[in-house]
Amino acid sequence: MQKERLHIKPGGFSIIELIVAAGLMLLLATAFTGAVLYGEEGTQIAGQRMRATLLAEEGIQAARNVRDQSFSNLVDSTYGLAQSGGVWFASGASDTQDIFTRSITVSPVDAVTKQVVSTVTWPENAVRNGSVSLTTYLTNTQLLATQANSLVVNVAAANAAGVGNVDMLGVTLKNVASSTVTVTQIQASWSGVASITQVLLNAVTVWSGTQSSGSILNITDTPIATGITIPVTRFRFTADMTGKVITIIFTMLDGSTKTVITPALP
Amino acid sequence: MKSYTRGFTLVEVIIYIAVAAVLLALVMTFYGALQSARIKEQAINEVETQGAVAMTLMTQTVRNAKLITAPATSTSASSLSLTTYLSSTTPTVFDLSSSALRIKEGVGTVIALTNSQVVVSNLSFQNLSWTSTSGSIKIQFTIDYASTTKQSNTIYGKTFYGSATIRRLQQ
Repeated sequence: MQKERLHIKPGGFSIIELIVAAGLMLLLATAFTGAVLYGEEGTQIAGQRMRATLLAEEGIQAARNVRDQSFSNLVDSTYGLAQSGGVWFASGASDTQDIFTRSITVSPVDAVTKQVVSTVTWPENAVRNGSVSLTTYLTNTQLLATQANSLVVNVAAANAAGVGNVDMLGVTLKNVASSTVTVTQIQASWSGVASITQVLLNAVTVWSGTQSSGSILNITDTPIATGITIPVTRFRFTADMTGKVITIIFTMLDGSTKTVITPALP
Repeated sequence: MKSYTRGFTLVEVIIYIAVAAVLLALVMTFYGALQSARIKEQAINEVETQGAVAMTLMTQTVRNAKLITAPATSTSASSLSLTTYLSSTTPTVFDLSSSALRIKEGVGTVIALTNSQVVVSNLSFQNLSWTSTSGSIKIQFTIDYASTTKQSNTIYGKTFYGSATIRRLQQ
């Protein structure tokens, strides 16, 4: 026993041990290198995706500007984006910027809305394509800019006055648009048997006659300049209007209408 | 009990040194590749991040502006001037100076949007607005990594394109 313990084996590595150790190290090194390289590729792809998103957004923004000019410019189809005469323009079915290919598809939703889809694709690497798609809905905002929408009617101070309280006074009309609006018709409705006999806008008689509640009065076209407020000088009736509620519909030159309801006339 | 110390033969020493050299060379190559990749990744990251941030800020400012003062419709320029809804930020001007993108709001101080890690060039603002619209601007610039050495792994540059249309409707 004692003899064996004292027998010292010479240390060192066998060639097998060396190969195993080197192999393990090589595996680890490969794993680390792979992680770093794929990480770098990931950063690059993230950057490409960001730039693709900016290009897709550009398509949406261009479509918006084209819509701002006229909703009728948005014709259903698939386009590439280009410039012509210094403004946004559609060209072909797609356009290319660096490695990115963009196409913009306009499709109908309803009479006043279009769906715009801007898609950008690019080769991410040898075997895979990247794709970014943005969608927006564009509305015909020209419909919002009717003359009636620019006419502000203030009925808060409407009152019955004059001899026998047969006149309605105190209503004002204001044009908040940047262009002139024109009132062409007035339709007034109230309860009771009284008839309307005269309408004065801005101290000018624009209609006179005898009509019952709910009749459409074709008044003399009355333009209101930008930013101007004019008084409805009076509506004259054939009876005392105290306590009556009057519904007034103004029809504008573009056919749009504005409906207001007065409080019970004091 | 005879005891003696055995030394190394010359052949053993040579083999040992050769094996150590091969291993060391492998380790150094690995370390070098790692370093190189790290520097490259940093270059890519700087360019992509700063480009995206600058472009996003500019397009967002245009969208929220009231109108485009300069460049005029169908022209392009190297600086952009916007009228905003606030007198304190009117005019908002974007331009390029000493290879950095800058913003100046009203009478405020000029603020750099990119740092010295990158070099910005070819800044261009193109006014592509249709008539009787509130305005639309195409923005373009190139960003390169500001490498002190000309090593290939620090050369990285990209051109950014973006556009913005003012949200406000023409009255």
